[in-house]
Amino acid sequence: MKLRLDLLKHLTTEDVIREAEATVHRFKPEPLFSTTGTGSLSSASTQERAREVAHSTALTQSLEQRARQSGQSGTDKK
Amino acid sequence: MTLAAAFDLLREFHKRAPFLFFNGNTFAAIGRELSYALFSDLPPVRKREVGSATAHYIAGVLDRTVMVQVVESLCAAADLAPGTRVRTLRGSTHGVVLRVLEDGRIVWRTDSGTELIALPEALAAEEGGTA
Repeated sequence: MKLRLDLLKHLTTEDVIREAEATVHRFKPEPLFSTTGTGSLSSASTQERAREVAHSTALTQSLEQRARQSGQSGTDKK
Repeated sequence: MTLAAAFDLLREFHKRAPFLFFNGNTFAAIGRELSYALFSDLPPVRKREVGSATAHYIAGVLDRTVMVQVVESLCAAADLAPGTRVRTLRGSTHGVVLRVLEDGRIVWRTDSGTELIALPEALAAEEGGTA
Protein backbone atom coordinates (compact mmCIF):
# COMPACT_ATOMS: atom_id res chain seq x y z
CA MET A 1 0.00 0.00 0.00
CA LYS A 2 1.26 3.45 -0.90
CA LEU A 3 1.61 6.00 1.90
CA ARG A 4 0.08 9.33 0.83
CA LEU A 5 3.08 11.55 1.44
CA ASP A 6 1.61 13.96 -1.11
CA LEU A 7 -1.37 14.61 1.18
CA LEU A 8 0.78 14.77 4.30
CA LYS A 9 2.40 17.93 2.93
CA HIS A 10 -0.95 19.71 3.31
CA LEU A 11 -1.59 18.69 6.93
CA THR A 12 -1.52 21.79 9.13
CA THR A 13 -0.94 22.48 12.82
CA GLU A 14 -4.59 23.61 13.06
CA ASP A 15 -5.73 20.13 11.98
CA VAL A 16 -3.73 18.57 14.80
CA ILE A 17 -4.88 21.12 17.39
CA ARG A 18 -8.56 20.48 16.55
CA GLU A 19 -8.10 16.72 16.97
CA ALA A 20 -6.12 17.16 20.21
CA GLU A 21 -8.88 19.34 21.67
CA ALA A 22 -11.63 16.97 20.56
CA THR A 23 -10.05 13.98 22.32
CA VAL A 24 -8.78 15.71 25.46
CA HIS A 25 -11.41 14.07 27.70
CA ARG A 26 -10.04 10.59 26.93
CA PHE A 27 -6.62 11.35 28.42
CA LYS A 28 -5.39 11.90 31.97
CA PRO A 29 -4.19 15.46 32.56
CA GLU A 30 -1.23 14.41 34.73
CA PRO A 31 1.98 13.04 33.09
CA LEU A 32 1.07 9.43 33.93
CA PHE A 33 3.29 7.82 31.28
CA SER A 34 6.46 9.53 32.46
CA THR A 35 5.84 8.71 36.12
CA THR A 36 4.47 5.16 35.89
CA GLY A 37 5.74 3.92 32.50
CA THR A 38 2.18 3.07 31.51
CA GLY A 39 -0.04 5.53 29.75
CA SER A 40 -3.78 5.94 29.80
CA LEU A 41 -6.40 6.30 27.07
CA SER A 42 -10.05 5.63 27.78
CA SER A 43 -12.14 3.73 25.25
CA ALA A 44 -14.03 5.69 22.65
CA SER A 45 -17.83 5.61 22.77
CA THR A 46 -19.87 4.58 19.74
CA GLN A 47 -20.58 8.24 18.98
CA GLU A 48 -16.89 9.09 19.25
CA ARG A 49 -15.99 6.24 16.89
CA ALA A 50 -18.53 7.53 14.38
CA ARG A 51 -17.14 11.05 14.79
CA GLU A 52 -13.59 9.79 14.20
CA VAL A 53 -14.65 8.01 11.00
CA ALA A 54 -16.38 11.18 9.80
CA HIS A 55 -13.38 13.29 10.82
CA SER A 56 -10.85 11.06 9.03
CA THR A 57 -12.98 11.10 5.88
CA ALA A 58 -13.41 14.89 6.06
CA LEU A 59 -9.68 15.34 6.64
CA THR A 60 -8.82 13.24 3.59
CA GLN A 61 -11.24 15.26 1.45
CA SER A 62 -9.85 18.48 2.84
CA LEU A 63 -6.23 17.42 2.17
CA GLU A 64 -7.11 16.33 -1.36
CA GLN A 65 -8.80 19.69 -1.97
CA ARG A 66 -5.75 21.56 -0.65
CA ALA A 67 -3.52 19.43 -2.88
CA ARG A 68 -5.68 20.26 -5.91
CA GLN A 69 -5.65 23.98 -5.07
CA SER A 70 -1.91 23.88 -4.50
CA GLY A 71 -1.47 22.18 -7.88
CA GLN A 72 -3.66 24.79 -9.55
CA SER A 73 -1.79 27.71 -8.00
CA GLY A 74 1.46 26.01 -9.03
CA THR A 75 0.16 25.78 -12.59
CA ASP A 76 -1.03 29.40 -12.46
CA LYS A 77 2.44 30.56 -11.46
CA LYS A 78 3.89 28.91 -14.56
CA MET B 1 13.03 8.47 9.01
CA THR B 2 10.53 5.63 8.85
CA LEU B 3 6.92 6.01 9.92
CA ALA B 4 7.45 3.65 12.85
CA ALA B 5 10.46 5.74 13.95
CA ALA B 6 8.27 8.86 13.85
CA PHE B 7 5.73 7.14 16.10
CA ASP B 8 8.56 6.03 18.42
CA LEU B 9 9.67 9.64 18.64
CA LEU B 10 6.16 10.88 19.47
CA ARG B 11 5.85 8.22 22.17
CA GLU B 12 9.21 9.28 23.59
CA PHE B 13 8.13 12.94 23.60
CA HIS B 14 4.98 11.93 25.45
CA LYS B 15 7.06 10.04 27.99
CA ARG B 16 9.32 13.05 28.58
CA ALA B 17 6.20 15.10 29.39
CA PRO B 18 7.34 18.58 28.32
CA PHE B 19 4.01 20.11 29.33
CA LEU B 20 2.51 20.34 32.80
CA PHE B 21 -0.84 18.89 31.73
CA PHE B 22 -2.20 16.83 28.84
CA ASN B 23 0.89 15.53 27.09
CA GLY B 24 -0.97 12.40 25.95
CA ASN B 25 -3.60 13.94 23.72
CA THR B 26 -1.08 16.38 22.25
CA PHE B 27 1.29 13.74 20.90
CA ALA B 28 -1.37 11.09 20.22
CA ALA B 29 -3.27 13.62 18.09
CA ILE B 30 -0.16 14.30 16.01
CA GLY B 31 0.26 10.56 15.38
CA ARG B 32 -3.43 10.08 14.66
CA GLU B 33 -3.55 12.92 12.14
CA LEU B 34 -0.34 11.69 10.49
CA SER B 35 -1.99 8.29 10.11
CA TYR B 36 -5.21 9.71 8.69
CA ALA B 37 -3.24 11.64 6.08
CA LEU B 38 -0.79 8.87 5.17
CA PHE B 39 -3.38 6.08 5.06
CA SER B 40 -5.95 8.12 3.13
CA ASP B 41 -6.42 5.31 0.61
CA LEU B 42 -7.80 2.91 3.23
CA PRO B 43 -11.58 2.50 3.69
CA PRO B 44 -12.86 4.95 6.38
CA VAL B 45 -13.39 2.43 9.19
CA ARG B 46 -9.96 0.87 8.68
CA LYS B 47 -8.34 4.29 8.53
CA ARG B 48 -9.93 5.13 11.87
CA GLU B 49 -8.59 1.88 13.34
CA VAL B 50 -5.07 2.62 12.09
CA GLY B 51 -5.29 6.07 13.71
CA SER B 52 -6.59 4.49 16.91
CA ALA B 53 -3.77 1.91 17.06
CA THR B 54 -1.23 4.67 16.51
CA ALA B 55 -2.75 6.87 19.21
CA HIS B 56 -2.85 3.98 21.69
CA TYR B 57 0.82 3.24 21.00
CA ILE B 58 1.86 6.85 21.52
CA ALA B 59 -0.37 7.09 24.60
CA GLY B 60 1.63 4.22 26.09
CA VAL B 61 -1.10 1.60 26.31
CA LEU B 62 -0.18 -0.58 23.31
CA ASP B 63 3.07 -2.42 22.51
CA ARG B 64 4.99 -1.56 19.35
CA THR B 65 4.70 -5.12 17.99
CA VAL B 66 0.94 -5.14 18.40
CA MET B 67 0.61 -1.68 16.84
CA VAL B 68 2.66 -2.78 13.80
CA GLN B 69 0.59 -5.97 13.44
CA VAL B 70 -2.66 -4.01 13.61
CA VAL B 71 -1.53 -1.47 11.01
CA GLU B 72 -0.16 -4.14 8.66
CA SER B 73 -3.29 -6.28 8.83
CA LEU B 74 -5.53 -3.26 8.24
CA CYS B 75 -3.41 -2.23 5.25
CA ALA B 76 -3.98 -5.64 3.67
CA ALA B 77 -7.39 -4.30 2.57
CA ALA B 78 -5.77 -1.84 0.21
CA ASP B 79 -3.92 -4.56 -1.70
CA LEU B 80 -7.04 -6.52 -2.57
CA ALA B 81 -8.53 -4.53 -5.42
CA PRO B 82 -11.39 -5.81 -7.60
CA GLY B 83 -10.09 -8.40 -10.02
CA THR B 84 -7.30 -9.65 -7.76
CA ARG B 85 -6.98 -13.43 -7.57
CA VAL B 86 -7.17 -14.56 -3.94
CA ARG B 87 -7.28 -17.69 -1.85
CA THR B 88 -8.19 -18.50 1.72
CA LEU B 89 -5.23 -18.62 4.08
CA ARG B 90 -5.16 -22.42 4.00
CA GLY B 91 -5.48 -22.39 0.25
CA SER B 92 -8.58 -24.59 0.25
CA THR B 93 -10.68 -22.12 -1.78
CA HIS B 94 -9.64 -19.86 -4.65
CA GLY B 95 -11.47 -17.02 -6.34
CA VAL B 96 -11.47 -13.40 -7.42
CA VAL B 97 -12.26 -10.13 -5.59
CA LEU B 98 -15.45 -8.48 -6.83
CA ARG B 99 -15.48 -5.30 -4.73
CA VAL B 100 -14.31 -3.77 -1.45
CA LEU B 101 -17.08 -2.66 0.92
CA GLU B 102 -16.92 0.72 2.68
CA ASP B 103 -15.97 -0.96 5.97
CA GLY B 104 -13.06 -2.76 4.29
CA ARG B 105 -14.62 -6.21 3.98
CA ILE B 106 -14.07 -8.01 0.70
CA VAL B 107 -16.80 -9.38 -1.56
CA TRP B 108 -15.29 -12.22 -3.59
CA ARG B 109 -16.46 -15.03 -5.85
CA THR B 110 -15.00 -18.48 -5.49
CA ASP B 111 -14.03 -20.47 -8.58
CA SER B 112 -17.11 -22.61 -7.97
CA GLY B 113 -19.27 -19.48 -8.39
CA THR B 114 -20.29 -18.80 -4.78
CA GLU B 115 -20.24 -15.15 -3.69
CA LEU B 116 -18.77 -14.61 -0.22
CA ILE B 117 -17.86 -11.73 2.12
CA ALA B 118 -14.58 -11.97 4.05
CA LEU B 119 -12.26 -9.85 6.12
CA PRO B 120 -9.17 -8.95 4.07
CA GLU B 121 -6.90 -10.57 6.64
CA ALA B 122 -8.65 -13.89 5.93
CA LEU B 123 -7.60 -13.79 2.27
CA ALA B 124 -4.22 -13.86 0.57
CA ALA B 125 -3.45 -12.56 -2.91
CA GLU B 126 -2.31 -15.29 -5.28
CA GLU B 127 0.82 -15.24 -7.37
CA GLY B 128 0.03 -13.83 -10.76
CA GLY B 129 -2.16 -10.98 -9.46
CA THR B 130 -5.30 -10.04 -11.36
CA ALA B 131 -7.82 -12.41 -12.91
